[in-house]
Amino acid sequence: MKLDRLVIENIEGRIMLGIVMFVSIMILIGWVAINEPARMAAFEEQHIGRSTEIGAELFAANCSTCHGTAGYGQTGVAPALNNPHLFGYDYLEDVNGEIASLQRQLFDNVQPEIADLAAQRDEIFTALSQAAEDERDTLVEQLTAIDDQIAEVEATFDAFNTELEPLLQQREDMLNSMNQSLLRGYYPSLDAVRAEAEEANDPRILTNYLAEDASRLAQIGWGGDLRGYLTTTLVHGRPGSNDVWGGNERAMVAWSQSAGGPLRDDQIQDIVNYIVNWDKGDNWTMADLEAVNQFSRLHVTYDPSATSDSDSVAIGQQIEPALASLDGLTGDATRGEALYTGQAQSELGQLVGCSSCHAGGAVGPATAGTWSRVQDERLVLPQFEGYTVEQYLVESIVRPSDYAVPGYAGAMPMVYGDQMSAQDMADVLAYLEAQG
Amino acid sequence: MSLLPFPSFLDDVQEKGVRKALMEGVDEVVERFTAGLNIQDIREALRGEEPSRRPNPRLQPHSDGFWLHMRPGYFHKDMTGVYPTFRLGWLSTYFVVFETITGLLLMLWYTPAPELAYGNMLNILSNVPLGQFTRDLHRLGAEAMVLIVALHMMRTWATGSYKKPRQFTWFTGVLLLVITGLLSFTGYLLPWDQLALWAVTIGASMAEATPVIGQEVNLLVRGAPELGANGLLRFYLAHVLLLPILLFIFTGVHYYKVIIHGHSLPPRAENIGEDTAKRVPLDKRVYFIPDILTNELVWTGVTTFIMIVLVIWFYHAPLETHADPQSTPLGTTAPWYFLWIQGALKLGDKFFWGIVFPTIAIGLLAVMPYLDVTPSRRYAHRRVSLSVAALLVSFATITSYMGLAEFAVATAAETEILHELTFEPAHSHVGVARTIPYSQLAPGMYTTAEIDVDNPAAAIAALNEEMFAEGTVYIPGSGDVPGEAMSKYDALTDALVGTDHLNPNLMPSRVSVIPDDAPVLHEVMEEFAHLIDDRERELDEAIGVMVITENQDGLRRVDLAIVWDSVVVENGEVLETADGDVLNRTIVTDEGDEVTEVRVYTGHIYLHEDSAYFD
Repeated sequence: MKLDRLVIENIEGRIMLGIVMFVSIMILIGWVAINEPARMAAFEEQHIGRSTEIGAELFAANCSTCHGTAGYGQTGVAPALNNPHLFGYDYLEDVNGEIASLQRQLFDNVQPEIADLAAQRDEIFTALSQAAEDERDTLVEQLTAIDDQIAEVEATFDAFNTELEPLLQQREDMLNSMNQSLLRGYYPSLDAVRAEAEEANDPRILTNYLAEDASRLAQIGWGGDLRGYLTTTLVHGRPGSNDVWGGNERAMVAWSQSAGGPLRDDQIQDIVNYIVNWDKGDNWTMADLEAVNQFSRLHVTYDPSATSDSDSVAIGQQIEPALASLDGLTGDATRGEALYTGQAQSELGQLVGCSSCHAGGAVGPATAGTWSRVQDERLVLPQFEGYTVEQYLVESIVRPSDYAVPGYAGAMPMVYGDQMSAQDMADVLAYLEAQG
Repeated sequence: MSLLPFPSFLDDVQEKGVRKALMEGVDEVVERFTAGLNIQDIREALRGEEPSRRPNPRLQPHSDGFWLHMRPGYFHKDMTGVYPTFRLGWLSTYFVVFETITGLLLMLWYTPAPELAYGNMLNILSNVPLGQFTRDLHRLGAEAMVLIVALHMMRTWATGSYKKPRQFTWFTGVLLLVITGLLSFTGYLLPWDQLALWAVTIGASMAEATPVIGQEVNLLVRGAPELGANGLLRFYLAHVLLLPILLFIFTGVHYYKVIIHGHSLPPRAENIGEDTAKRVPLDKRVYFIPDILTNELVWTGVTTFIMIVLVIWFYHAPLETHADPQSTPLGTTAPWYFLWIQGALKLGDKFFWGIVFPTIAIGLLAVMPYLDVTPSRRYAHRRVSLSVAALLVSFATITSYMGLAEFAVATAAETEILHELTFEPAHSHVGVARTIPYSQLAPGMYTTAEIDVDNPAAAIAALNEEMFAEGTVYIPGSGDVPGEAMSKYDALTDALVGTDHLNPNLMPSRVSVIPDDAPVLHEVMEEFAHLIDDRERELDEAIGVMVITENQDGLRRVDLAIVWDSVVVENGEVLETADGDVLNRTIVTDEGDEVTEVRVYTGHIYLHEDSAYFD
């Protein structure tokens, strides 16, 4: 209170204190402002750290079941994310780069030069055969000069080749040191490309392929960066991944709330931060590659016009002949399942993939229990009097609109009579019967 | 001779010369700006001299100007010290202005939408120069303002300043207190983090208790059954528009009343029943210009300086993880100034304690001057009034304490302990397990068995044997699955790998002694052991286990587990055997043996090397 009185009664004191406070405030704010860039950077770093922690938790709870707790993937189920291939790490980068450079010089410079010289030589040779006596000496001189040049360039060619040989050997050794399954995962169409290069007699095809396919993003032709790729995949899932991984239950679902999934967009970013944290930059080792359980697969280009080589005929859309053609056929439940889940083509070269709708009962009635459901619930309806289960199912498949289970009307296309043979139908029926 | 129909500046120059004309021109401009003071007057005021002309020009800005028309021309000398006001009223106004300025700056960077709000906060912290500084000032100012306004009210009660003729001033003051609380409360939600969502959810849940139209009131406040996009927008608009407008209006009324009635003098300065605030003798007058004005400018500087020092070195506004309506954090409380209601709710009926009681309390407070009509303001004559005040403050303190999570909220010991060790930063606290520096997180399995024993290595060796002894843990079978006896280690592995998705390849094969170069890790395990000891009746024969594994480069996972012999609990009490031991829960195995049921409770966190909880 003393101090206060002092200040109140003494205007110089007030002015003094006011100035000191004002200057102090300005100095402090200035000091904070100077430190802001560093503070903001530190916060950013800390935020990414914490986001990665949250991502780890989300990954363990939601993703690890398929992609593995360590992100190495699961054979036949889901690809590895802790995977040099995903991050575009190229084990062959150095050696491949040197090879590419040498091959470029050989094929782009030396070989054309040789070809050019050979053409000149041919020209002189032709001229020589028709030349008059007095011109011959000059032409022979030219020919010798050209031959010398050719020898010189060929020596360069040999020098390059001598340099190239050990590099090619080194690359081959490295490829061999990856075991076969790794090789197939990392460079999925290596064998085909090798054959192509051999046929075209152009080893550069192989070199280019090795350079490009070391990155998953390059392989699938992704135009953006890795974070964008991961984000998109997490947000939308992978519609159609069941084609690659087999069975509808293998499809990666959409994870973002904006696409109908369970996670918020900030959580999606947390998971992306976590996955990106697996990147080892230039420090990936062969052990990391060996730890991968499953590499990404590529969608196989499917050509619907291609038909199988058998002379199978479609079962058609008429019930009576269809049933008649089934007589005497034994169904194979295993092949039926493959047809049902879209893992095998029908005898007419079509993918019918029933399970893309008939799973879980959301779009079409569920698979399990079809047989008994038909028997116990459908055939008791008056319009199906005298039907057998086979008859009901065949009719449902080839003429789906004749009777639709309430709630699913109009969903199933009337195309399967043209896509399946009698044997295909028998196999699918066997599979359904086996499902009970 | 002027070309214009009135004398111009050029005429002046002609008449008086450039210098004099210019000086007079400037003087006139200054006088217009100050609404009455010319340069000479200002100079005299700042020199502490008496005004050289009469009537006193320093009173003119009060009668002719806008800015000072709400301030008295002079104060009573007795009112200029710390006592009796403690400057609390002035401080309240200071914070109104302070919050308005910092709030307007923050508005530039904020969008009231659940998808964006939290991202905006991160942006303010990571990408806006002085963003964190401004946010810290705004948040600290908000908390301080609630406190200051409440203290201002208590002071007014204590000095009896609410008495005639200032009853209505007091009434507007109570309104301002409520508005301040609501402003702070609505602001609480805006960061859209877990702290915001759940503190506000608890606060807003009172609305549901409204009789008959509870559901409608709830919908009105939250915009939906739960807080979401609509609720956030409503809170935002209330925070930046509705409540500030009300606050400014009632601040105006409050100030106007001070002009009308003057500041009430210290109780002893007046005769009982008299009010002499407006009749200040000449020798007691302290004029606003220059004394009070410069004094307030100085205090503005001092208070701002203190606020800045606090946010630079001592206070940072909390920001937890993104709001998640699906996961309720353990130990959620309302903001501290609403804790008294949360505590009162634990006394009984939600409708009575959540709605009726606060309404009556605040209602009585508002009309108090009309109930207490005794004329004397002397402390000695107001024993009842002051005792009631003391009682109310004590009651509010006690109910506020009761509002805390630790009071009368039963949580299972194992849940509470793991939460205590791992909770995310909140209210300037963080679970101690997060404070272990990354370098001390040596992968391995550690236990509390080595804490407080003479020979840790021997204790761990013994534990290793016990952990691997087959058949010590019995998992009852269900349906066709037969019951299974296993070792504690297997039961632990089952829980961590099977349920918690720990990478099975990383599960340590044995318990290790805590490394010497990890002192913080050791401290945390000590804390773990003590927490278990505190609840030893519920956690019989318990060991705490910490499993640290390397999840990624720069990211480690810390699994915490408690393994204990299950006890029988009835009505929250652990039952005892005849000889005073706790009664263990037993299982009859398929072979017909009766064995103690062993339970495993687990939880885990991930720690990134950059996340810096230990700073």
